[in-house]
Amino acid sequence: MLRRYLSRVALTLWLAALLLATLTLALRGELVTDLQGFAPDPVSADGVALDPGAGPAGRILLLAIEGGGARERAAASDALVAALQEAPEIADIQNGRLDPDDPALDFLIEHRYLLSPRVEPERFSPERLREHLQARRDDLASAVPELPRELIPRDPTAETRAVLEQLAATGGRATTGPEGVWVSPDRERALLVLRSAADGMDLDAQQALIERAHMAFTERAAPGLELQIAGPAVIAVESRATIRGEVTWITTGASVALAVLLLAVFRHPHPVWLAAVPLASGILIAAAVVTLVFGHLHGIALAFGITVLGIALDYPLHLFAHAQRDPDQDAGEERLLQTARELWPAIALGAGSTVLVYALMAMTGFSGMAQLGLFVLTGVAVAAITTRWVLPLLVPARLRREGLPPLRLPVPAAVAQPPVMARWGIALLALAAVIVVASADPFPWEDRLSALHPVPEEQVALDQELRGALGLPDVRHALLVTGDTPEHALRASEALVPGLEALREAGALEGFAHAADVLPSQALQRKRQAALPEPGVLRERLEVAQTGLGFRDEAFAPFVEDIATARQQALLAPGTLPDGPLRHALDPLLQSHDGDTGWVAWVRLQGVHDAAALAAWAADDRLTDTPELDGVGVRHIDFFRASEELVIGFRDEALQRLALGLVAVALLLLAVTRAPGRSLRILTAVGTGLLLTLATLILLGIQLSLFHLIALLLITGLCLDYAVFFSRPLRDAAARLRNLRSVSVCALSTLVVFGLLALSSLPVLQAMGLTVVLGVVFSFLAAALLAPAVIHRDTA
Amino acid sequence: MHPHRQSPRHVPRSGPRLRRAAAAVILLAGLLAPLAATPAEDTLGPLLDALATDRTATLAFEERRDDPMLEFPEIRSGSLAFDPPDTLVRQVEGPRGETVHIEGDTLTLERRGASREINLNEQPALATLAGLFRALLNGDRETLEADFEIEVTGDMEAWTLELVPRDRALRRMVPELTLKGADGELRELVTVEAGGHHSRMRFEPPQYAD
Repeated sequence: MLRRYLSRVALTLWLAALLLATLTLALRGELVTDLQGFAPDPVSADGVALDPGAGPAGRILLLAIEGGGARERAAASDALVAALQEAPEIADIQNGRLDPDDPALDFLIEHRYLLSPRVEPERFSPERLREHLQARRDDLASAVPELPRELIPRDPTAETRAVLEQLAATGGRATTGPEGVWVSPDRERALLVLRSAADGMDLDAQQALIERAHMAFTERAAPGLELQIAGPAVIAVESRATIRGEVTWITTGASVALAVLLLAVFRHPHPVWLAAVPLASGILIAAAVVTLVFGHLHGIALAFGITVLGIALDYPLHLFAHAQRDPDQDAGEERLLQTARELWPAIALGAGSTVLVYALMAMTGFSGMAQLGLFVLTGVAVAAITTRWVLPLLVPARLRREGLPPLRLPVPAAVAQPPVMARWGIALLALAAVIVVASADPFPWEDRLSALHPVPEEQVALDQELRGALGLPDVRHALLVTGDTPEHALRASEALVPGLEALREAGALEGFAHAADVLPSQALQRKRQAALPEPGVLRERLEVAQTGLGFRDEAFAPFVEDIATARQQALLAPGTLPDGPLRHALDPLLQSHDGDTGWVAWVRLQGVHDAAALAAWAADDRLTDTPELDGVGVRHIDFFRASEELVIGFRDEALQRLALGLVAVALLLLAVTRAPGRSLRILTAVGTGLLLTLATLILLGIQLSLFHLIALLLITGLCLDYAVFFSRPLRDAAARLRNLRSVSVCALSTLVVFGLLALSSLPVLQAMGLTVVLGVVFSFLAAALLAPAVIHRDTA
Repeated sequence: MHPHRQSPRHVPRSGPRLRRAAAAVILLAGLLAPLAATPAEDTLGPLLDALATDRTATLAFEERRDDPMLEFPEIRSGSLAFDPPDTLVRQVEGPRGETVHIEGDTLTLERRGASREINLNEQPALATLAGLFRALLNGDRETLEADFEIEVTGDMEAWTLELVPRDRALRRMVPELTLKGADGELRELVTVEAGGHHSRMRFEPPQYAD
């Protein structure tokens, strides 16, 4: 009676948990698929995000038109601009053709005296004015005027040109082809730059935008032309599509293969779907728990999580493998419940150890890994509990009473009763593995962050090629200037220029671009205003300067007027810049800090040849002689180094956690089994399995990344499970054989799933698949060979 | 009346395949002509054929610039020399004299003993203007029509070509160019520039070097 009551409670609790989980996912579920959240973001020592894919740079798409003739490409480039420039999802699209009616151009001309780097008192001296007017007089007569004749009355000192040149130098230096649009250096491609209105990591919006661009192109371009699109968002969208595709086919393939395997082994359809119950419950509840804790669930964590949760499939398999019809025993009413009770200590020990290992993983600062850890530990716990208390109740009554047909699984005699030699063999192999691992120098760690991203190589290559062709700056080196206000950051950037010039002359770098090139500090703007002569003085000087050149008397009246206006013009500030080329050039270089206090200005460096000299110069406090710039920080950033250090940091953390996890598991085993011999046996099997896997990976010449480490964590869990089962004190050879078959079914099912994973084209999934396949084989062998001999060898 | 009027069309130096293809096109055009012909298209083809030359030719000119910034109009003389297929030299005499030498993609400007080189690939507007004469003298209708909207008025005896640049930036600087001539002879080029700058070049009949 009590038992029935308890069963009903277990079923009710299980159904309630599933319902709650479903509700949580339905109401609050948010599947995040960008890569940013999963892989760690590099961060500078003062907390500035260093990921070049985030922020304004992430919104840029680079477009290239290939094929056909130069004129067709230029026409397609123009057509694409015309089709897309009014689209609401596009902030800006440029193909190199200057729009003469662009209001932004008028803004530049109106503010030229604040923006031009050449404005200083000397420029408007009588002698220099004379030189300028002579040059303009030549322009009026020439077939090739230096300054467009239209601008001569307003701007005889050619500040407009100085401003445009400065802006072009900061915004990139693309080649303009004979057709007037940007082209690649070999002129075989027309190039465009598109800035999206949506954030670079809003992948749905980015995907729609990319599709829209392709559609607009197909509608308008001449046949034979091809559009290629690159940029951080394209890489992210493609990775997402690849991940989705791969996960779909791997999941489908693995499910079918598993069903076939189970059907063949159990010779009965029920175990096939029943085996999925604990796993499915685990996935559902784990997804809900992760969503509740993190606010969202990361797509990659879900995919890996489901994969790693494959261990949860072992629990029902152990149950079914132990619940066969046994002619010698009475077919008791509660045969299956009995088996579940008998197996529970072993299952609980294996699951508990796994939960312990993943709990340590869940406590990292690496969000993706923490989600994965939480997901797996929840899923494993739920699956184990479901197997113990719920699964037996779901089995149809007849099957529950009679048990399952005998397993069809031939097990080699050598594994069933391993010869003593085999133990020596595996001991020797383990020793060899220790030597291989210890002598690997340098240890083949993969430190590049990019190796963790499932990004197609061609996409990255295209991105870099187009970036180079458009003259966008080097993404590796930069100086980071931090200040309390934009004015501080801009003034600091200006103060750095003499030092940077010296470094350039010394050959340490080839060039640099900074925010104050685009928008000078207000202090500098004020200084430039002061350099402009008063209208009366200017008029007098002009009169003298234009003698004998043939100009009409009031020819330069617009110039005098513009100078007078500029002298009292409102100064420019980052907040007041209108949308346009100035803003687009400034945004990537000057940003407010993620928190609301503090500003960040970048100095982008080109062609850095002597990074050490640069770093030393930046570390030496640059701005001490300018007291008003107190509190402004200058730091040299090497993006590659930053992301490498990050990977190394996380790897060390993961390794520590693995070591800690093993110690914790050892303590758990000792505490639960109270048998030092059995604990030692289990730990030796786990250690041997891990060592052999690691040594094989090294011998295969594989660079070990963080995801190999995750796979090693998974193997630890699997091997624990096998070793716990193999080391159970058993009554007889029949029990031993049943035990062996049970573990074999588990190992086989894992092999099927991860064998498919090893076929994936994503480096990350492949790494996990291969590592786990090796791990399963070695763990199984190690656990089987280290199993204790049966106490009564022949009772049958 | 002019000695060059009846000169046969210069066939560009091209392989037999191209010539055969050209012949086929002309034949086809002849068949379709009664249906599709418009007066403008009728004149532009023969006009370009008549202007085209594969000989080194020099045109003397007189240029008058009217400029709102200048007190008096400026009148100067000079010459335009074409050396097929793509060399063009524009020489202007006098106090602000200059020589513009265009060869391939490179423009060289010489003025008062100093010279400056400009890559035409980086100056699309300039390239279009420099390309205008080369296209006219090469009979390159394709380039001409790609760079300008063309309107032809008059007949072969006295024609007028109105060219409006297709590139918006260039059109803003130079809204319109007008060429006038008779048969294969260019008589006048009027350039209207933004800001009221205005130039009129009158050409003498071409002199051939050979």
